[in-house]
Amino acid sequence: MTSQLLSIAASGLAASSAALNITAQNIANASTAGYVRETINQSELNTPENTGVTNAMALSGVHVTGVNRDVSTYLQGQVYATGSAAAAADGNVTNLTNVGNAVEQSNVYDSITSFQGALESLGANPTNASLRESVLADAQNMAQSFNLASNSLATAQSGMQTDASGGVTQINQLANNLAQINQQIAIDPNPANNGAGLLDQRDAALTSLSKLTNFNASYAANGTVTVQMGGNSGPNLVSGGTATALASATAANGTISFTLGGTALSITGGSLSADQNGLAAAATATTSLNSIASSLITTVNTAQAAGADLTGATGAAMFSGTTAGNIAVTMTSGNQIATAATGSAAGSQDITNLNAMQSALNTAGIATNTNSLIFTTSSATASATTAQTAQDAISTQAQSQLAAQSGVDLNTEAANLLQYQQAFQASGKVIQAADTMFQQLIGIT
Amino acid sequence: MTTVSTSGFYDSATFNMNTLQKQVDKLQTEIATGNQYASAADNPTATAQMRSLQLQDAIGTADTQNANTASTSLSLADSTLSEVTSTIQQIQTLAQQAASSTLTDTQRASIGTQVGQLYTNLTNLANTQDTNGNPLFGGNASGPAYTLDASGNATYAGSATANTVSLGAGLSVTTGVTGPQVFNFSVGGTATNLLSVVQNLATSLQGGTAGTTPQAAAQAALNQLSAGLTQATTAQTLIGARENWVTTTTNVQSKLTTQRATEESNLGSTDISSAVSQMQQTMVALQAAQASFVKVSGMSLFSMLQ
Repeated sequence: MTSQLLSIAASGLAASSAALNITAQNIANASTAGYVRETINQSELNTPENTGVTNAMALSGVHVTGVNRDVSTYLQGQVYATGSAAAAADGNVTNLTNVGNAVEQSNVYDSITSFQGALESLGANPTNASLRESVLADAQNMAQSFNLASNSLATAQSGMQTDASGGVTQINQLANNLAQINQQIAIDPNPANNGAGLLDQRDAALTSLSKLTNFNASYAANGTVTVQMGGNSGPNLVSGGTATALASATAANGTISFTLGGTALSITGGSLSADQNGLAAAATATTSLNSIASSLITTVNTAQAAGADLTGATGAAMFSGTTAGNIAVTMTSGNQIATAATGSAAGSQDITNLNAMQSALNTAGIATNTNSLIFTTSSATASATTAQTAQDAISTQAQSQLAAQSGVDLNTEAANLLQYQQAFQASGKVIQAADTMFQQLIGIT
Repeated sequence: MTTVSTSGFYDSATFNMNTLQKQVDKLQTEIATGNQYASAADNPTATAQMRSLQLQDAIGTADTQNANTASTSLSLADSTLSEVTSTIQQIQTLAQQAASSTLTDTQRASIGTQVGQLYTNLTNLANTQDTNGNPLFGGNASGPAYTLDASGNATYAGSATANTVSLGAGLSVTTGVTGPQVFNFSVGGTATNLLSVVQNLATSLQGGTAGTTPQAAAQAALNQLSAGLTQATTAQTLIGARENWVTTTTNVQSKLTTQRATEESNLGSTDISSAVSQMQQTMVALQAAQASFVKVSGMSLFSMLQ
């Protein structure tokens, strides 16, 4: 009888000790990202078949049946979905800001303004050498601003391409990790062993994946996950122990597209989709900027050819090149600016051709189109910023809901700690009582 | 059981305080720079309008300078024409004397010498240059307005029209008058010009013209000189009218500039008083959030268990 008392108390000690370990684990991981609170499952142990005498004799203590990992896959799904939307929104703001800044901060618009102002000033005194040189200097600034804008756009593009190819590599690594984790979970689905740790690893990998792309995760009864990339109807990235390879291709204009196992793939979330959007915006901005530069070159050079410069000769071309990237000033002296009508004598103060050039610039809409370009890129950034604010709030909300459901609350753990500590002490007392009883029996002589 | 998880509490408190901190930073930047928008993305529509105004400003600044240049040329032309009219009046006085029968031909020849001197003055005035070294009465041409041959005959070498300068807002002004506008006129259906009239008078008074007496030449010149004076005065009136026009457009331009500045300020300048009060409000909220965070985060059951 004493030996039974001892074994019951020993099982109580073991259970309290396991519960204390779980509590300590929870406290230690209170601030670990993605950690799910663990609780202990225990049940009463009866072994009537072994004792077989009376019910009272069947009591055998307590048994730890497993570790419960208390998490809602619905809320996790919400966290992944809103997380990838927020990552896309963050990425969109960064990428579109870079694209917008490339045009806005290279001062293309300001330099066009100065150039047109200088042409207007030249009208008052067309033979003045310093006014002519100032037009030429402003033309040079303008050409360099276009070059700078073009280079900045190219830099932004290559940054996004690097980020995207890094993202593709990361996704493939995560997919392989998930496939391996799936294999291990399939072999050993019992959370009482190291199962909870495997599930934590699985969820951490899915959280990382949600920063890169949107996906749909579905779980089998044994805890393995199937990941469909791009949403509910997307192709499988991970299924069981198999991962499918993701690849990206870069088009001539710098935009990127994705294939999963050779099949075209469309994604709407995560930093990868932000890179795709940003590269599309950069390609559009580059096309617009090149078209403005080309129109500027043609307009000014055509106007030059239609007039006479300070020496009376037909005006030479002011710009060379065809795009924003290669526009350059070829004119070497301000005297070559063709202000006068064709056939005018040397040193003529006629400004017929200058006026024609100015109105041609207005008709071509050089300043207006540049203004529109900046408006388009900045509007895209502004709406991305609005979306970012909303998505961040939604994502934070989803995270705190999940945290409320599955995170660690230190106050609860403190209460548990006391409870299990007291249970441990009580079991200890039972052993002491058994010992006292045993001594009493021994002492009977 | 739904609990508030510890990490969830820290995360959401941080998110809320960050949001307030960002608002305070943005307001602080707005107040410090005086600009409501640091980049175009802060308000694409307003900044696009501001860029349009910026282009108008650049052109407007050039136009204001152009108006000053035009004004300078016009006032120079005005004062030169005053010299021209006073010279014509001196010649008229001399011609009046020479036409009188009380003078001898010797005396007329001496008057002729004086007229010859005044002719030189007139050709110099006709070739006056502006501050940029361009001829005042030569139109668009760069060289002298009148060229003199070996015997002193003046020929107009300038262009038929004078320069027109844009003054902005679709307005423009012709900044000069051409030589023919000042000196050419017709008497009794015959086109002539002041310079040749004066030169002929000088030659005739010195007895150098066949078929006419110096006295008759002087009498004949009186009508022509009178018509020449009218022509020069008309040109001066024209210049005066243009000077007024430049003043008017300068006023228009400066009103437009003020208007643009007001519009730019309405579009993009920080309303300091409202920004400061908004910042004060946000800072109170931030301080409250920080103070409550410290109090709430200190409330742990662990700290009670001793």
